Amino acid sequence: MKKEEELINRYLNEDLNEDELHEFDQLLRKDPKLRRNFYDQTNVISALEEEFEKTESSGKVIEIQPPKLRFIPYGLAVAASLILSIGIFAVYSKTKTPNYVATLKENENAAWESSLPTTAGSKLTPGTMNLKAGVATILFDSGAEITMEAPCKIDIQDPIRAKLYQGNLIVKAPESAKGFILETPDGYAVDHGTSFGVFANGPGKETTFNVLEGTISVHSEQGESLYLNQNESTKLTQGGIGTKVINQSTEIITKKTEGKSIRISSDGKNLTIIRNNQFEFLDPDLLMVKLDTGGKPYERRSLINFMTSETDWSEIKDAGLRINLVPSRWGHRVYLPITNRFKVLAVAGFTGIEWNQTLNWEEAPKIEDCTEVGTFEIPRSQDSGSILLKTPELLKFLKYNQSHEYTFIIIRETSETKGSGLVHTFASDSHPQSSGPSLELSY
Amino acid sequence: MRFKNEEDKHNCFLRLFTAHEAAIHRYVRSLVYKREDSLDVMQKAAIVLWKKFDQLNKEDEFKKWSFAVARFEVLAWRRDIARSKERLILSSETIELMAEELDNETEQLELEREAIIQHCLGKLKQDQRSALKSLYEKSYETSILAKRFGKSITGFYQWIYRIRQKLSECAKKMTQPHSVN
Repeated sequence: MKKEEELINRYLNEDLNEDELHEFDQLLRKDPKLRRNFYDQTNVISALEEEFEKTESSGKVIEIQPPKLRFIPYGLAVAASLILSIGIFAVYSKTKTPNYVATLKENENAAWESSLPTTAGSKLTPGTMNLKAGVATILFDSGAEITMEAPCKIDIQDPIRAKLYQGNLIVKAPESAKGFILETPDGYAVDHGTSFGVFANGPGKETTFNVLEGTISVHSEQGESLYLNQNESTKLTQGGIGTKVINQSTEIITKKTEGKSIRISSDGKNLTIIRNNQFEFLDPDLLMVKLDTGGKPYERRSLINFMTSETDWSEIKDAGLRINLVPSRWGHRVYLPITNRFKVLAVAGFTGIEWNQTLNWEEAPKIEDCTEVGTFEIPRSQDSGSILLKTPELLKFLKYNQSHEYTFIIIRETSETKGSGLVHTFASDSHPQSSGPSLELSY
Repeated sequence: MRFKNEEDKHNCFLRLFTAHEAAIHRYVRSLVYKREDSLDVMQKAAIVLWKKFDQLNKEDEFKKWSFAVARFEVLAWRRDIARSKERLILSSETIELMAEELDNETEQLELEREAIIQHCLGKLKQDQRSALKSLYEKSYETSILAKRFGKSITGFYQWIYRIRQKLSECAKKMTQPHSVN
């Protein structure tokens, strides 16, 4: 990159120091070509923002408040109308960028169902997050940190407030997040600078609070409250707060699954193929599956690959392929049969597919060369949800082949009832909201 | 301009301002660049435009007049920032020079922007489009995006610069008055 271009680019990224800005300023003034280049870049940026930026509420409108007509004594009315006639408010709201309150700090083998982004590092706006598998940590902008273990459903509300519907989590609140409130079924807890564990069994059932360090207060809907210190715990139910219990150890009461389970992510190695090889009908964020009528030019299949060198397949007791159905904007739902049947095929070993590129239909593994490992069905009415394919055939295939690499192909067996029927879409690894495919194994 | 009453004035202003608001904002944005700053300037410019609306002679002159007001507000904003030494900023000479040039360029830039959205974005490769989408939706940290596309942060920004350049070249080709067959 030429130096001038480098300067433009870094100016646009707000990354110039004082000397560099001075240099950029001088060059801009001297060099008409550089200015031209600069205008072009800012112009493209406006186009891109216009196209892609999520406008939460359009804050760019100007509001004019016409003078209000009220019954006012005559003399006063004249004076008042003079003031009111300058009733214009330019409301350029600066909160056009979404209102972020937390960050998804870490995903450990996590699978999510959420309308919020679920990649580690994503910024989060208020909303509900449902952890289906694994462990995840959310860092609130106040400094409070919640580590949750699946299954767990929480509502992120603002930097110092969250609501736990069900599940097991630990809250850590440093000095900056003192006063963090965790709502639970039947009440809430206030964190007075500490860490504590909560296990909520769900609505109408009891919730256990357990202080690991420091102090918290637990509050019931009836207005009672109870302070708990280190190693103390209590239960909260619809009837109110239970008695204070001194724990023998700081272990939190959780339902632990026996044995070990791991989750292998496809790590970007997934794609869609389309029979007519017209790739503009694909979207990298989606794994698409469709069977159409006629010559089937728009038939789509999804390919998913898992690579691992550390798994001892002979030891696994259970295996499942998880994919997440996401709402599709492609085609009409009413042109589908009431039940749609899908087939999953598998190939063991190296396929030669370049996963970061588009793949021609003809270059994909042939169905005849694959092994069927299961089928599943999706009703026409369903537009999202997590699908876990757990079949004896899948387990057998994985154990038998002992391969470093497995590729799965998802096809739809049922066709549309009429042209332009719905394309089923599953989240790929780059999907902004939902998790990509994963292979779940337990020992 | 003359108005029948206050309401007539309100309506006329609102109509003209709404019609040109996006163009004024883009003009301001090219001069001050940071979105938050451009919104500050727009807010002030909108109030000045309304207060001085009586001084406008003809409706046809609204755009030219509003750009002049916006330019003045940009320079006033620059002066305030420079005085407070709050942050680094381009010199007023450079801003004035750019304002002058951009005044004459708006129509062409408008056409190019249209071409980018309608045509050129569709010609990009999948990964290029997907990177731009993720970046301008602003839902990820840049470091995450860079990693996802297998680049360092600097490398990622350079790549994005090149994609923008490509879009601009495409738009220019599309909007050339006598394009080659």
